[in-house]
Amino acid sequence: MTTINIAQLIGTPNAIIQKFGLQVFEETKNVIAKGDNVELYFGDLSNTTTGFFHASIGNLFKNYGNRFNTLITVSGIEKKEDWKEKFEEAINLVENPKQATEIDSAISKLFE
Amino acid sequence: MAYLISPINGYLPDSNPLYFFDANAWIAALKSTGNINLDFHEKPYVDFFEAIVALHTHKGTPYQKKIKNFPKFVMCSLLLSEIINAYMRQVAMKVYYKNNQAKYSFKQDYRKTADYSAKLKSLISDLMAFRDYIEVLDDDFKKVDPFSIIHLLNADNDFNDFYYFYYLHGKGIPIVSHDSDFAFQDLPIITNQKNLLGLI
Repeated sequence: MTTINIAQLIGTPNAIIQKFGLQVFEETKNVIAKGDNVELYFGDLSNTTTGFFHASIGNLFKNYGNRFNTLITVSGIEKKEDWKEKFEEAINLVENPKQATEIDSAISKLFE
Repeated sequence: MAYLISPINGYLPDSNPLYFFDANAWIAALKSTGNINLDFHEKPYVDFFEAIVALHTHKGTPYQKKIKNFPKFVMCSLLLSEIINAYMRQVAMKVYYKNNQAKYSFKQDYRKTADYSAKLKSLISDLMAFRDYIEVLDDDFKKVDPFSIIHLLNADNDFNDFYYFYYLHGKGIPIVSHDSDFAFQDLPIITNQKNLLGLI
């Protein structure tokens, strides 16, 4: 089991943009590709956003599907009450891709 | 008088200490799911927003010397109100009721749902997460003088656009916007909007 300290990986306690989530996604994939399981440690973070969770957890769930729970565990996510909700929302959107498309379409409409 | 419009693609995020992202750009940065299959207009704004935040990771590193500014996002009460209202009405409510939004009242129906509470909580949490990157400024309502604005209103523009123009004018803070109505002179504008870019 390899522990990825997210704050150390992204270089800030603020996991607030999708770019940082994609860093977590790529690093986790690299570890798993070498045959190891991953523990994602949230405990040193101060802030997270839904965008970060979409890019990290959402992409990992999309990539590994049912194997997600055997390959990846999370810790420190209980630090703030709503982090677990954001985690679950990211997974929920992968399971409901139509809803994700509807959200992005509604946002795109703002730009027309 | 001149248009001070710059294309967002290629604009260096450390060029200024402050940026004013309009409400739509904020909503895209906070709430787009990153579905890469969509050909979305907002991508350059999300990328630029994220590039500003990412600059801050270089603080305290040898690379810091090469960075001119560690910019922050300007927030005033009108903008915060616009972000919350536009997101809740035009994104959250729209997605909740799908194609039947017109049948429902925002106040009487949507605000009573669990989805409203969850989406509002999530939006507030996301906004709060950016506290360290936000410069809160007063709205200068008296200084701007709203009576100098309201007589200019017509079918082609809205109060908020004029207000932001007068509010930002002379402050040297670029506005980042895709709004084609924002064709104001003597105000730095960063955009990917083709009509605005056509003015330069």
